[in-house]
Formats: sequence, C-alpha cells, structure tokens
Amino acid sequence: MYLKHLSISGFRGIGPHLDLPLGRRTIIYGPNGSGKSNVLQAIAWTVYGKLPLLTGGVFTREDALVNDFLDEARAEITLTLSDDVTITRTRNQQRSTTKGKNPLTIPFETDDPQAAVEQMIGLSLEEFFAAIFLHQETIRDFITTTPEKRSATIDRMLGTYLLRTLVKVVDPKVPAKAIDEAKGAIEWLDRQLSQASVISREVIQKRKEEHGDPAELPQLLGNIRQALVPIAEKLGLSAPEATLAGLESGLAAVRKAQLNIVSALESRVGQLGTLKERYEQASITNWQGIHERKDKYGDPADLPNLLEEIQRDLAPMVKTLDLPVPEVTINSLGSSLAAVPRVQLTTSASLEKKAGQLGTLKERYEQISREVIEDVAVPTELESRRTQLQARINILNREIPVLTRQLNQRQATERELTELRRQAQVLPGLRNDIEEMIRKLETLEAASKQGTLCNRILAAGQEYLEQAQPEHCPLCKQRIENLQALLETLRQETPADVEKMRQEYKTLHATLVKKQNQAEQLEQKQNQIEKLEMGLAKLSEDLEPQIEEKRKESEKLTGELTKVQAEITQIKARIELAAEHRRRLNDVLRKIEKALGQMPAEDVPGAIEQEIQSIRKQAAGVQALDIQPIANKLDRAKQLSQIQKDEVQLHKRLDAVLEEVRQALEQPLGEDVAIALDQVIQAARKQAADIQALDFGPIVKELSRARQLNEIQKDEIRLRQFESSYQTASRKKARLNYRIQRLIDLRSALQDIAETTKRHQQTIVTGVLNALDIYRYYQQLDPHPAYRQLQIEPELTKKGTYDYWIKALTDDRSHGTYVQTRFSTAQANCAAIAIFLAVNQHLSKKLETLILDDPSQSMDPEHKKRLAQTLATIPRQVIVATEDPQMFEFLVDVFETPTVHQLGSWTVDGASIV
Amino acid sequence: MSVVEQIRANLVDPDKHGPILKALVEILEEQGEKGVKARIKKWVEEIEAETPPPIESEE
Repeated sequence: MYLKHLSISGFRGIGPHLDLPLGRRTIIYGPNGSGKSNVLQAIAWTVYGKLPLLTGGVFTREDALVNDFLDEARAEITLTLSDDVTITRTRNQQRSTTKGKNPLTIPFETDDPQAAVEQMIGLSLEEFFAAIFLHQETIRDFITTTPEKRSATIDRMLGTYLLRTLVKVVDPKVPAKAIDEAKGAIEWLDRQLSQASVISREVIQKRKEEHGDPAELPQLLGNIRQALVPIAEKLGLSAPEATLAGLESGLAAVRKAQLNIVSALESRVGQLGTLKERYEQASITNWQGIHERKDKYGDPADLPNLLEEIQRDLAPMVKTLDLPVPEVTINSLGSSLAAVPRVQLTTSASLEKKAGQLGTLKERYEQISREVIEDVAVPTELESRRTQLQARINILNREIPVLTRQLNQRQATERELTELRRQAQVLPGLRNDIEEMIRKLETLEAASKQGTLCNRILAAGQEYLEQAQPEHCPLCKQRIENLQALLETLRQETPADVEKMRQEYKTLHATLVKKQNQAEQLEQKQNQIEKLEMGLAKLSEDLEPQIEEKRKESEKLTGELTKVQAEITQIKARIELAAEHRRRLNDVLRKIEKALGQMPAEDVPGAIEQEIQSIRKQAAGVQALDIQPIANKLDRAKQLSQIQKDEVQLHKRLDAVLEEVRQALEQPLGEDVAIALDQVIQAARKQAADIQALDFGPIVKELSRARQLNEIQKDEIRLRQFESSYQTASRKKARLNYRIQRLIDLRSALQDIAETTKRHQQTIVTGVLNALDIYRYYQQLDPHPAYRQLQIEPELTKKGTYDYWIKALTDDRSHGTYVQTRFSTAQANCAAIAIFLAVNQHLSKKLETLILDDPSQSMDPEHKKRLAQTLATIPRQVIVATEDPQMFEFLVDVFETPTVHQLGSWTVDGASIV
Repeated sequence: MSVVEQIRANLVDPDKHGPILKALVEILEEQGEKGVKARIKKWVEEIEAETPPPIESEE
C-alpha cells in the first residue's frame, strides 16, 4: 500500500485548496517557508489526528493546526491510498493545538475509525515517525544535541521513545514520599498518646496517699499565708495572696529581703568602725608630728619677718648681676636666689670673653699697622701694546681659515678635472661610431622599404594569378604569362629576408639611441671641464706659502702677547694687595670703636689696654658673690610655711570626719564622740542577729506539700482531657492508615508500569537493533573513506533508559570512533539517514512509503548525488521535500518518472503550486 | 497491537494498573513529561484529600 493523492484545505499555512497527486517518486520542491513541511505533516495528521512536534509548550496557547488567515477557520484534508480508500480529517479552529476534536471520516462502517485506520496502516503514531517520516528536526537532533537528546532521537527512530519517556517520568517516589509523611503523622499521634497514658489513675491515687487530697489545698494555702504575713510585715513587705504562686513569690521576696537587710546592717557596722578609726587618727595621731617640727624650726608666726630679712640680704647681689629685686614671698625669693649662681657664671664668662676679644683686636691693630705696602698702577704703554697685539692676532686668525678653505677647494677641483678629462677622452671615437651607425641604418631602411613593397606586389600578383582563368581567354592568357614572368623577376630581385632586416634595424637603432645618450652626457662633462678650468684660474697658486707665513706670524705675536699679559697681571696683583691692606685696617678700627664705645683720639693700643683692665676687675667682683647664708634662711622659711599649711589641713580633715560621724549617727555630737559611735555599732549588730535568726523551714515544707497537691490536681485534669481526646486520635490514625493503603496501591501501580515498561523497552530495543540492516544503506551513502561500517551500541542508564552510542568502524574492525566525535555534519547526516532507512525497511510492513523532509542538509554535491541514487533504489514509494536546487536536480535525474510539485513563495493566501 | 497494549498485557495486575497506564500515556501524548509528573502529584493530592468509607471511620 502507498499514498496516491492528497487534498488539503486550511491546514497550517496552506490556503483553501491544494491538490497533490503522489507518485511512486514524488518531489516537493520550493524555497524556505513555502509550505513543503506542512504538506508532509498533513499526511501524518490525517492518519493520526495529532503531531508529536506540535504538542505541549507554546502549542497550548494557540491553535497552530488551522490556517489563521482563512475566514473559514477550518482545516480539511483528504488522503487517498493506493487502493482508493479515502481518509478525511477535519478540524474547526480551537483555542489551542492540543484541545478540540479532529473527526475522521472513512468509507466503511466502524465503531472506532481511528483504530481502524491505524490497523489499516499497520503503524502506531510513534512508529510512523520512526519508520515513515524522517523530519529535518530529527536529523539535526541526531547530530548536534546532547547525548541525552540524541539518545531520545534514536529512541524515536527505533519506535521506543514512548517507552523511554514513560520510564523516565513514571516515578513511584512521589507516592512513596506521601506514604512516609503519613507514617510519620501516625508515629507522632502514637507518641502523643503514649505520653498521656503515663498518667494513670493508680499513680495519682498513690500520690494522694502520700501528700493528701488536693481538696485540702485552699485551707493549706491559708495556713501558710498566716505564718508568712508577720514576717513580711517585720521586713517591711506587703502581705502575699493566698494562692500557690502568690505564696511562692511572697516567700522568695521575704528571703531576699532577709538577705538584703542583714547585709545592709553588717555593712553599716563596718562603716561606723572605719569612721571611728578615722576620727581617732584625725584628733590625736597626726598632731604629734606638727609639735615636733615646731620645736625644730620655730613658730610659723615668725615667717613674715624672716622673709623681709632674706629680701634685704639678696638686694645688693641682684643689683650687681643686673637682676630685678624679688617680692617678699617664698616663691619670688626662691626664684631670684636660684637665678643668682646661673647669672653669676654667665656674667663672669661674658666679661672674660669681652676682655679676650679686646686683646685680640689690639694685637691685630698692631700687626696691620706694622705692614707697609706701596701704591702702584699699570703703565699706559703696556696696555696699548697688548691691544695692538691682540688686534693683529685676531686678523691673522680670520685670514688663515679663509686661505685654507681656498686651498682645499683648489685641490678638490683639480681631482675632479682629472677624472672628467679621463672620461671625455672616448668622445671623439664615440662620435665616429654614431655617424657610421646612422649611415648603416639609412641603408637598412631603404632596403627594408623596397623589400616590403616588392612583397606586397608579389602577394597582389599571386592573388590575381590564383583567381585568373587563362583557359577561358587567349588574350588574358598572354598577359597572365607576362605577369608571371615579371613577378618571377621581381621575386629574384627582392631581398631574401625582409623581416630579418627589420629586426636588425630595430636592434641597431636601439644601440644608436643608447650611444647618442652616452655622447650627450660626455659633451655635458666637456662643458663642465671648461667651467672648472675657469674657476681654477681665479684661485691663487701660492696659497700654501701664504698660509704658512701667516701661521708663523700668528705664533710669534701670541708669544709676545702672553709675556705682556703676565706683566700686567703681576702689577694688578700688587694693586689688589694694597687695597686689601687698607680694607683690613679700616675693619679693625671699626671693631675697636664698637668695643670701646668711641674711637680713641690717639694711642689706640693704650686705650684698649685700659679698658681690658677695667673689665677684669668687674669679673672678679662677680665671682666673689656667696649665696649660701641666704639659702639657709630660705630653707627655714619653707619649713615654717609647710608647718602652717599642715596645721590648716589637719583642722579641715577633723571637721570633715566629725561631719561624717554626725551624719552617720543622725544626732548632735556629745563630748565623747568615740563612745557614741560604739553604742550605735552594738545596736546594729543586735538587729542583724535578730533578722538572721528568722526560720522559714516550716513554711517551706508546707509550701512543698501545697505544690504536690497542685500537681496532682493538674494531672487529674490532664487525665480527664486524654480520656476524652483518645477517640479523636484513633479516628485520625484510621484515616491515615486508609490513606497509606491507597498510596501503596498507587505506588505499586506505578512500580508495575515502570518495571514492565523497562522490560518491554529492553525487548524492543534488542529486537529492533538486531534486525536492522544499517550496513547496506551506510555502504550506499559511503560517507567516510576509512570508517565503512556503522552500528548502534545501547547502554542502560541508572534511570532505566538507554543511552545510544553510534559507532563507526573500519572494515577489519581494528579502529572505531563515535560518529559525533570525528564525523563532519554531512557525514553524521548520512549515518542518521542510513539508520532511518534501515528502520523503515524493518518496521513498515503495510504502508510502503518513505517521507523525507529536507534530508540533504550540509551535504556536498557528491553526497547529495549518493543520497539521490540511494533513494532511487528504495523499492517503495519515496516522497522527498527539498529546498536545495542541486538536490532537486539530482533527484529529477535519478528518479524514474518523478511526480514534481514546485511550490512558490508563501503568501497569506497559502502555499501555491508554480 | 499498540505499544500500550503490549505493556498492559505484561503488567502484574493489568485490570487494576492498566487504566493508570492508559491515562499516563494519553497525558504524555497530549501534555508531555510535565503533564505526567503533574498528574501523578495530583493523584497523590486526591488520595490525601479522600475521606475513608463510613464503615472504616465507624471502626
């Protein structure tokens, strides 16, 4: 069975009407987007009512099956099979591709038309796309995607993709997780119930026998309150409430207050003891030291008189040292006295230094005064001679380089002349050669012209003779014979080789031009020689002696100039020495005037000596000053001042202690402060002991019993609550157990489906792979020169699906490679097509058709040709869609009587046949 | 015989598990892998929301 005719209306991008007869070899050819794939998909959709590549994802958002540009909003396809059975599928536009019905009409009665059609075709939808329809997406997936996707594609080709997907997505773990959660909930309920069941009536009864009945609890709490209230009042606290929490809180507060009060009383006792010690120390111990120091240094009342005495002793000293007179205070007098020895030293050193400086000035004055230097000046005639010499030397130094340059120029010109003359020697011979060549050229030109003319005449005559027919005219015959004789004579006189003469003329002419250029250059050089000779004549011939004479004169004058300059330098040095002497003398006199305050009228050394003696006497007076007696008096004054301060300090300290005692006792102080402090300390100790002695034991014991009774009361309440909630928990458990059972059923079903699918998948994969004749088609397509065999190796994954590895091998199987690693895209394409063709032969038994959508992607012409030839050998109906002009040509060439449908560019009116 | 029928024939409990297989295959063909996963999850949710039959709750 094969496909005979297809009539499409409103399907995908196809317009209201498209009729396509389908032959044994059908080619659908057209540009990209022209509707080729739509035509092929229409076949599959008519048979199965769905398309695997048009499900899920974006196809849930619109109806991509019905042409959106047609007013009818309806698709209808009629497929006629080879036995003239027609299948018609229709569809009204829906909101999504996956929604809505696609009713099928067949020409015989049946309850299930779809099952009947599939029975007739002999293939499920999945098998149809594995064995009949090779889509361009399938080829691309085979080559470029991940191993997982590639394996999925091969599963599609083997017809096991549905099994693969089922194995992958049917996951029993989902109900298993829910089962675990339900079991967890039951365990939690059991734990709750078991905790509650620990509280039994027997245990509560036993605790009642031990601690009493909880009904006694109000009376017990009242008793505890009665015992606690007086203690709380004693400690300054409010009365507690007659509840367990109120009494526990009250007892804790009483205990805390007891600790706080005792601690506060003990602290007060310690503070009062310390205060007593401080009072005794301030009132007795510290005054003993004061009395001892008064005995040693005297009464502080004498201090003002002592300070005035120190000021009087210090006054002459500070005047001598040029210091200010101090005030009558210890600090001022102390500072002034401390400054005396320091200023004493600096003043003495300053005076000694001044005397030394004056001595040095006196010596320098006497030394400079002893030096006598005469005043001199440079003679005028010596200066004049030096100027003359320098001017003459300058002139000579300018002339010598000029003459030297002229000499170098002359020598260079002479060398150039020699070279030019040597080159110009050949000029006469060259001129003779040129004249000879011109003559020869004229001869050759004349001979060549003559030869050319003769040849033309001979050619014209020969042409005339060949066309003439002397046998038809006796007159003409005679003329022709004459012409033949004339031509023969001319041929004999014509130069033998005119072309050779032309070549010789050309060569000779080129040589002549070259020699003429050479002669022209030499004539230019001849002119240059004449110019150089004229220039040379202008230059003097005795330049060298002139230069030598001027050099000697220059050297002689330079020597004389050096001597004159040395004489002038010597005289100038003496002038500078005299000036320096005068400057030094004036300098010393200025310093002496500054040191003495005025310039002595006469006898400068005597005046300086007199001043030195006066300074030395002044220095001796300063060194003799003695400060020790004044320092002793100042030390005593300081001691008296300190005693005075300490007395004031002790009075203040005693007043402060008494104030603290007054505040501590909170009463006016009597005469004996120490006894009053002792009485207060004893009273505080007694109060602390009384509070410390309070006994809470009975109250604590009773409160503990009250707590037990309270717990028993609570447990009785909990027990009553548990007894009422037990029924509810049991119902919850029953519900959870029912849920677990239902989930276990679902899990078992999913496990059963997954395991059975895995086993079935394994059987199918193994069976199909063993039965496939991939080798035959791979050989025909011949994609690789070395790897000439192809096989599919299945590998079971942990998930239960298969990973497929497409392996190519050499004929002797010594080398193998994975197609995806070493094959080009086109070679891998060929491998995919070989597998598909083998699958087609194996799976499709009833429908003997092969549909290929754009199978020649990335192939070179050779492989396209092989593919076309391979398809031509398929003993089934072959329908190929292609946009490739070359592939189209190959198919037309190799297909026997092909049915060709050429589609034009797509418009909103739909696909159209050209 | 279709692939689904072949698997159904080999199930441990074809009568009980067969309808589930058929439903899964239909969802797979119409909605893809995500549809199947969502359906299994929904079955679990439906079971969790179920109330046991009265006879069990009375026990």
